[in-house]
Amino acid sequence: MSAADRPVENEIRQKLIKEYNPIHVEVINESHMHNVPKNSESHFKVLVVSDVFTPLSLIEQHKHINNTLADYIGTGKIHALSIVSRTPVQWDRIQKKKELEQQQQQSNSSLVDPSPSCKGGFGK
Amino acid sequence: MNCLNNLYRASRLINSKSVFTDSLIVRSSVRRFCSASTQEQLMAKIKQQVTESPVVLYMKGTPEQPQCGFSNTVVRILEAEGATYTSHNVLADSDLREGIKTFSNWPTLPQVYIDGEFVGGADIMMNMYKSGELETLLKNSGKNKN
Repeated sequence: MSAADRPVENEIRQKLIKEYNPIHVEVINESHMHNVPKNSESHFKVLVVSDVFTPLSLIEQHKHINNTLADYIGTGKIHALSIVSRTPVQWDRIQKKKELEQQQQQSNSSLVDPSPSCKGGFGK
Repeated sequence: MNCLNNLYRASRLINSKSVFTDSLIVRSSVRRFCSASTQEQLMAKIKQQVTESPVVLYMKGTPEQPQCGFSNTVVRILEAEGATYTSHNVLADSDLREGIKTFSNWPTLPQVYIDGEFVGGADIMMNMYKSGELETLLKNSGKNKN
């Protein structure tokens, strides 16, 4: 499907980019998981990582996004909106945690944990 | 009752001014008076409802048969926390379904209230459940005072 086939998804993404200048943004169309016609744009999940959220509480962050997307969610243009909002600091920690978990998973394939690789300090 | 009073007031107002004899104007004035007071009554009803028990859930369907995945998530979370809660099925009451959104200024359902305060929907509940914040909040709510 081309971008033109997903007008609502693209409008939502553009609105979020404009409002939050995000480090990371994802707009996921989850409509296929629900009892709606094929290619519907009714159920969305958004992930926004932005410094705008840093001074806000979780509920304030979600209210902010609800307001930004009020043309869609309040009007019935879309049926459901699931929100994940993160500050840059939180996002950084999530990424690092993921890296660590991946490392652990790799080492779990062997019976013995491998030692961490050399970072070049030997003999200094 | 409020609505009847308003209707009476409206009719007196209209009778006193002969220019307002058009029945259409009369009808629309009456309707405006009535809908304003119905809305007020609904807000008052909800305000009372959210404080009726420490944890109040507005959802689609019932805890036994949720009619929406997000509502189901919140039910599972509350059950995992061992919380006792009152639930309201908005699918059985369309006025409540819209009214609750106005009340909290929150456009989606489900909605959870703890000690009369709006806490959030499914995403926020899941966040708070994972962080342990919800457990603390529930512990400090009226939950343990029963």
